[in-house]
Amino acid sequence: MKRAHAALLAAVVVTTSAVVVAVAPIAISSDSDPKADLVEAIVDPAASLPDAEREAAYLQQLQSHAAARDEWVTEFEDSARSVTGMQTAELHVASLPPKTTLANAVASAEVVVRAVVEDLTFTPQTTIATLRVEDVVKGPAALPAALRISIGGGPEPDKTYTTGVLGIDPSMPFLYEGMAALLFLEAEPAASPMPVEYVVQAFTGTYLVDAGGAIHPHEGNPFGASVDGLSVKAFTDLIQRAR
Amino acid sequence: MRSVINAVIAAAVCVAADLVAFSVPATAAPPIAGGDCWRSATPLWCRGTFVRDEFLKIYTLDRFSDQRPNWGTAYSTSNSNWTGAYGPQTLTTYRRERDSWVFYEDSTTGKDGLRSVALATTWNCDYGGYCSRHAEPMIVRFSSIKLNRSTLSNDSGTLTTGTFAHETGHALGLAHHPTSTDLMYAGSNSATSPSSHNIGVLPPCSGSDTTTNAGNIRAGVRCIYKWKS
Repeated sequence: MKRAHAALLAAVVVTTSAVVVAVAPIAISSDSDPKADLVEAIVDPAASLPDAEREAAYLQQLQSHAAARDEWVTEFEDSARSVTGMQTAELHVASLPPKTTLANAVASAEVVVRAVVEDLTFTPQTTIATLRVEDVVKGPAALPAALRISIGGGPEPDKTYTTGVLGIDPSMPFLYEGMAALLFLEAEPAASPMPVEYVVQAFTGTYLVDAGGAIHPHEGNPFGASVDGLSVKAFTDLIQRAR
Repeated sequence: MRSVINAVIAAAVCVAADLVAFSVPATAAPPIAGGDCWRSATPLWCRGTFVRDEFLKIYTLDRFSDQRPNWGTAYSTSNSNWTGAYGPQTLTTYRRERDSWVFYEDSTTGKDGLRSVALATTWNCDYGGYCSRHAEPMIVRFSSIKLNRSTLSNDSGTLTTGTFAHETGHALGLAHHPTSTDLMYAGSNSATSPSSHNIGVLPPCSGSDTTTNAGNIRAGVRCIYKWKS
């Protein structure tokens, strides 16, 4: 019997040591690792459904969210809320490849203008910027003085559908009201349902003009380093030579 | 007295055994220093079905073939490239227990937030009815990748394959990478497979979170930990 006790006692000692070894890392990681609680999977109530019903449940969630998002963006616009000062978040959007040279960018642009953003209109599908055109570098002379274009980014609801974040399209900086820029604009395809005639060229279409009159290309512009900091006049001359 | 001691010892053994059973994952795999699935100290972003030290099982569903049957090769190549890469992720077109679903759907300009210069976007949905197409902390229930048939050609060329693989990276939790040749670069390029920028043994894999995402606390994560070889 004493032998049995000794064996049990040994088992306790061994097991307790194992517990100390096994539990300690978990305890440490729960302090430092925010994912420590993911040792267990989250139960998805749809997982027990037949595949077709599970898919229907997922699509229902997508559609419900889309409706709630559209309503939120529309309300954001209707109540004239401002995106200034909103927390930003990069959108999961992949865009067409950037033009590799200034000549390619100019050739691809139907219109190149120097303009100031006068107004923003937020729709569920895009943000529409109304520009006050100050100079037409390329394009029809009869271009309207106020031009409506599609730009990347816009307000997105957060999980509470009350506050939101400003989604940033990685292909261009967000154009806040009052910003001045040289913009390379491509024609919106005829079949597009977007209520605009032009869209900003991805990556190579935006050159913000700072208070000192220097232009700054967007990150990801392949030839950006060669034009960064040029004056509007010098950059405009380059554009004309590249045509 | 002896029976009391026996009972106490027996109870201690049971409690200890339970603790051991609780703390050890069902499927053992090489431990990962510093974190489990995604990069430690970045915003929380995991799939709810993922269990520490197991495979991340993604079930991919083709919901584009009726409009774009020629995208099939791009779809299968993307799946193969992600599964063949290091990391816990395995993507299949068949069901597995505790898998997580990703839909690949054709869309068009003017829908799903797609502009005429966009190739695709990815919506990740959580367990509370919310979906998001921007980088933010969340535990993902399923994903829906929307491919713009207005801008993607009707074939499985490099642009299409790269777009499938890039959006899959978003579904796996990755944010954009600033390197222009990387799969997770926001502008399309010739990359069709993840690299050491996207999957690594220890953070920061490659590239910095702080450069392009300074001041943006919802930046998402840059890389997946490697453990599967």
